[in-house]
Amino acid sequence: MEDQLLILELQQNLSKSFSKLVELYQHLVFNTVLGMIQSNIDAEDVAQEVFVQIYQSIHQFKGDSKLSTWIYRIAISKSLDWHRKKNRKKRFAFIESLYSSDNVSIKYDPPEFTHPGVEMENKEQAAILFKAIKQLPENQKVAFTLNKVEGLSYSEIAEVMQVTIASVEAFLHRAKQNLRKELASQLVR
Amino acid sequence: MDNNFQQEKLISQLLDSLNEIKRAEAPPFFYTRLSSKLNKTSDASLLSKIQFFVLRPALLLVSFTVFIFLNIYTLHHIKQETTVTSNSFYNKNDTSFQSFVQEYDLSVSYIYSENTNEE
Repeated sequence: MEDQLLILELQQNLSKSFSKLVELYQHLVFNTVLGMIQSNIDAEDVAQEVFVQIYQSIHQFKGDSKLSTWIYRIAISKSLDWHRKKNRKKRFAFIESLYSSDNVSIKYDPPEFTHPGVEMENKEQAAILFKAIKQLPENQKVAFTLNKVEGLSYSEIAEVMQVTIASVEAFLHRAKQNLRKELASQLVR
Repeated sequence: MDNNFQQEKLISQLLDSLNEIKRAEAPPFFYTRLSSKLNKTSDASLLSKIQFFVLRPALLLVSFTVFIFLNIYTLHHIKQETTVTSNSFYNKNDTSFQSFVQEYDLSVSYIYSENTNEE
């Protein structure tokens, strides 16, 4: 009900109600984006892009899903766009490294990510896990991040990803299998 | 065997390390920075819309085709005009043209010649 009221307000007077929307959803967006892109520096930029997208397309929101679900979808798609852009840049990093004295690989692939919400005693282990999450395929990464970092239920993840609950279960099962393999190989190294 | 067991235990611990994760909060003054970005974006969006419209491949192709067509038409037109002018120039030297002039007495007459005749 609150959501519907807010959507109505947004569609009638966007500039006034937008601050309210940002206040309500800024942490959700920031945390999702941070979990997905694993970069404290770029997370704010991407989160801002998410809200810019919301601002520009709120009139297209038909209310078929919950507002939060729609926002999650935008946050996920912006994060995946960021990853694709970064991968494209990484491909040219080798050429750049020939002409630059800086360490280009660090610029495009920061060594370690620590999530600010992880408890102190788990920081080191979480950093290893996040490094392994990076290697997962997109669908598995999205499902795992939404489940573990945002704490969404299987049905909520299914709504965000627009798939069935069974698919989400499959994604998470495969994600855990892949993570086990990746972590085992990391431990051997 | 023992090593494997230890490794599995460690992996399970690693996988569970996100179990009690708390939500990360957006940095302070997030909305202030966002609103300034929104202002910049709205200014830029008009420019980008124009740029998008102008740089559309279909529009570029049509303008290029029109440009080429106009050039060909102009060249063809100029060529035709030159041919007509040069043809008329050659006709002047033609005997038929000369005879035509003589027949109708179209040659230029001067006032002196008229006076001379009267005398």
